Amino acid sequence: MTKSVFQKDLLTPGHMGCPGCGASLAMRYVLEALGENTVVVMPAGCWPTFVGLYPSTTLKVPVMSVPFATTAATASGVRASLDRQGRRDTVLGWAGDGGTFDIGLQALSGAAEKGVDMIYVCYDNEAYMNTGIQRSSATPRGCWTTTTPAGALKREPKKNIMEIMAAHRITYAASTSLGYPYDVMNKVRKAKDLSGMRFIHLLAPCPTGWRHETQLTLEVARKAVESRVFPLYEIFGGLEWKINPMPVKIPIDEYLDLQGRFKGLSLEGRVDFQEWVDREWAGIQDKCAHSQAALSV
Amino acid sequence: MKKVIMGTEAAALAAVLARVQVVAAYPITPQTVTVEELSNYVATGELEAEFLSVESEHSAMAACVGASATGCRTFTATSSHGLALMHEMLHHAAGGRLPIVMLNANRALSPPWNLYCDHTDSLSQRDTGWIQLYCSDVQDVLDSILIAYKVAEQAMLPIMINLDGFYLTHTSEIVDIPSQMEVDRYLPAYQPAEKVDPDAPSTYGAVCGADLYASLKCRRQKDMLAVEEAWLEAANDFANAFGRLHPTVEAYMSEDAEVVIVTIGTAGGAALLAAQSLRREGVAAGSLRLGLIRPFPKRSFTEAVKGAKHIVVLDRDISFGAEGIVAQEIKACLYGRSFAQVHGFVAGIGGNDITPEKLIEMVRQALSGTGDSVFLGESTWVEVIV
Amino acid sequence: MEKCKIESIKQLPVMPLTIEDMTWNKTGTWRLLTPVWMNKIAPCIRGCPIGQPIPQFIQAVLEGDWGTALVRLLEVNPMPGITGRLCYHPCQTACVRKDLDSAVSIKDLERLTADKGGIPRLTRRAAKGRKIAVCGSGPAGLSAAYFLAMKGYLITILEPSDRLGGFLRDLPEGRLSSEVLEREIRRLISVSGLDIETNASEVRARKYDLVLLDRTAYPSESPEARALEKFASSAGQYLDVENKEGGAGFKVVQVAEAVALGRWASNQTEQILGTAFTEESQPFTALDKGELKFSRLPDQKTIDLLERAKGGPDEAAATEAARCLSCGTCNLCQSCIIACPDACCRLDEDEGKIIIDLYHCKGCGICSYECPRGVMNMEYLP
Repeated sequence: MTKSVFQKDLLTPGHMGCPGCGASLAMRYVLEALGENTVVVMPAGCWPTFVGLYPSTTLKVPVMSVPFATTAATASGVRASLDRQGRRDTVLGWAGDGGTFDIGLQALSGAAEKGVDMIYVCYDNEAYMNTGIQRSSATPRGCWTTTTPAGALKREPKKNIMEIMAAHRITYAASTSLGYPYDVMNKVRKAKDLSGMRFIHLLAPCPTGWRHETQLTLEVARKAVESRVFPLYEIFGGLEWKINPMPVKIPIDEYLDLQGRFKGLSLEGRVDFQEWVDREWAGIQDKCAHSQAALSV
Repeated sequence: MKKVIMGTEAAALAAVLARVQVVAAYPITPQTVTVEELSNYVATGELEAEFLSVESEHSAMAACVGASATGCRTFTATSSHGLALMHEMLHHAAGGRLPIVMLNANRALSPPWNLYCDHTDSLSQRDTGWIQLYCSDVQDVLDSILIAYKVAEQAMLPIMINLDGFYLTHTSEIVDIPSQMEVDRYLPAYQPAEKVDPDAPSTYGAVCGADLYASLKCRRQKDMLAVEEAWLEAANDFANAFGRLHPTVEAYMSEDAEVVIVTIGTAGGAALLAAQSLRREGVAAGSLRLGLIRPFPKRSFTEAVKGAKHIVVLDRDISFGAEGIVAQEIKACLYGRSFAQVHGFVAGIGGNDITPEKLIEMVRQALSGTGDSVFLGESTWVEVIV
Repeated sequence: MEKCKIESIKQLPVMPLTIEDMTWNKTGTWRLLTPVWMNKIAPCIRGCPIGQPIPQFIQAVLEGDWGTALVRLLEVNPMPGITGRLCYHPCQTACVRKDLDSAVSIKDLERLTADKGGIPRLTRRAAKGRKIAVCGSGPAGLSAAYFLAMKGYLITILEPSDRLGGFLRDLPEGRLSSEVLEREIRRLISVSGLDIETNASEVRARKYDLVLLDRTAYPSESPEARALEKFASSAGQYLDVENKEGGAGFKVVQVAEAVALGRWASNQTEQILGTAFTEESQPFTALDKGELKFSRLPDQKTIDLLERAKGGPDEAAATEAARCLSCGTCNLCQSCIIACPDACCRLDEDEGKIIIDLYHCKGCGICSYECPRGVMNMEYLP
């Protein structure tokens, strides 16, 4: 008898997410890996707006929907409280790129520095989607959003949140993508087996904001990895870097062309984008090689 | 046991006696000693709690929200700018119906920087849904925190205990410290009726439509209004157990007074002395210290000042464009219930001392209509240059 | 579930906590296109004269479940051990994998399945009380007898010689050993429960509702063929089972065609007797190779199964089975379930089916896009 991949399925149908929503898939995978004994702390963003319409909810685990800047701080309080009550439930901080890269960064840094025992997942859809697709510091260079409109596409490259987290020397940081559901679940399971601050950077496309067809959510997330725009890697203890899994290499056009948000990107912009991708990739490779060498000394 | 301690130390000691389980705080003058003391109590094991040194006041309250919502007795302390930074979280804690108790050391807001007593920080948070109490002395700090947990946990509402910066935070007084056993009897371990519970999953704070949102707020207002009686009851229980009464309003010689001096915080002592002096001069004066400001203790206050023709209100705060905030509160309370004239004075802000002499002068100016103070809008400013 | 009606504030907790789930919210009303889960006919199945469910039995091989694999074959083919040795495997000629690297060795897997699957139990239909004689026991006659027996008819095979098997009997040992032939026939008999009468000399026509005559069992001039002629004269009404050319015999490699002829004859018999059982016919859609997404193959389930088989006795078979792309045939890889942002695709573990919750499905189409084998399709259903 074939067993269902989702033995727990802690997300019930009926939520208010858009058709093809990447953020809901992200939650499905992460909760499947973490299981029932998980307390989710989520700040403002798409998730709290569609998790339920009071007094109803779509998740079968306890959720705290809290103010925007406070994910990691509230989660620290939940962790302390559960510890005090002798409970070992997993505390899951769950924020988008806005709540992580921008408004929630201070609290996240505070919790990371103190090694608070929690898993923090940033589901990154590269803009403020809930308020209607405004730029965030996770938005890539050359991308359209409603605050980086045609003629003034975003000039700055995406902020490197993984390096920021690695600089805190946290137990575990991993990037993963919805295009690789098993990779998401495996990395979250790996995180669950560790303690201290664990950070998962999860690329979760948003059909509404990325302007791609709803059925392409996973495809786009796969292509992001294959084109090396979004490399998947792990950082142990902030210093030991490892690319996992190693992607094939496809031209970035195969990724960009699936989405309307890069329609305004000029030819030079694309060359620029590719250079940025190659540079970032080389940087990660250097770090992997360096940490390997350091380990073998 | 009697001991000479400061207000900030008394607050920390009260938290220990209340057996708080989670403390999250960020240091700020003049609250700092409380944070230091508590981390020390946790380090030595005298307090079995989690101490979270967070990176900001906003995060401090956020951590308290997380801890309280999941079922722990929670304490924090802040002041002035820290309180202002918490503003968003204050609304959240009250809306979440979380019985957090917080110390606030009243201090002025910049610019320009000023570290001394001023009530604008907490009074400008009146509408966040927190119960607000203002303490008169160090014993009041210790006792009020114990009463506060009892009231907060019953009402499922957070309480802010306000201490005048330096006047109370840094003043040492003799304090009667109850034994742990006595406190445990008065304030048993926290058993939340509701919480965010992994064993009974539900979502806290989901989006709510207008239909139920208004009803939830209406219920919160009803519960808040009931706090005046709840406080009196808890205070009476406390008085029966420990022999000290901390009512919502503390009135002195007000029954037959023609003029009543109303204060909050530590100025209550000066007001009492001023009333005594005035009585000796033949003025039928009384004094009244408001303990609770939110909910406004309407019943006790109206009853206490029912014979007064003049009410002199001291405000260590200002609502710009209106007047002193306590005076506004009193006018709102008395409208249609009393013909007493309310005279608002703004004094002592930014650390100016309030002496009995100054208060006597205010009463004279209120009764005669003349004096050195500056009348602006509805309130009279004392010791200012124009 | 219906939304709970709030009539008093007391129904709500004091803390802003939820008290029910969101399933009352029928997001299915947002949908334009609807996912339809339906297997399609793979090129190999179309290539097979019998139409064997090739992806299904290979899936069972991959799962290490030889018994189930054999059942899948026996449902349409009573002698997979023989076809698996003799057939010219047009299935492999049609295999999609041929264009990628090389065709899956379907024939070898079929043979292995027959050799390793033992004697499984298949469900026979309830007895119908009708009696049928099948004269001659070539692969077509045996098949006709088998299919009819499975349908609940009382079957007697009348074989003029002393051995069953018709022209299969006389093959050189190297091509088909008598041991295998006997085993296949024994299983056929045991599974279907039919009666045998060897050295039969006549047909007592009154005993039977219908007599079938397997003209393909023996070369036309053989003594057995002549014996069958004699049966025909005593049979009264009979049904001739003969090849397309109207003649006797099959080429050995056409054994699968003989089995198919047997099935045709069994259906024909039911028509004649007026006992045809009308089943709801499955919609028949052939798979278009363009619907396959090779980049997503092999799927995770296949990878996992292969991993499991590693180092075991069936590793080689599993490795070959894992090459099957299961074209147009759901292998429960659950790509659709994993892909659904609304938790609307679910696996019925007992039935081995994908169930779609159309009350909530928003019609995003990821399930269809992610299905590697063209089983999940978005359709406009007004």
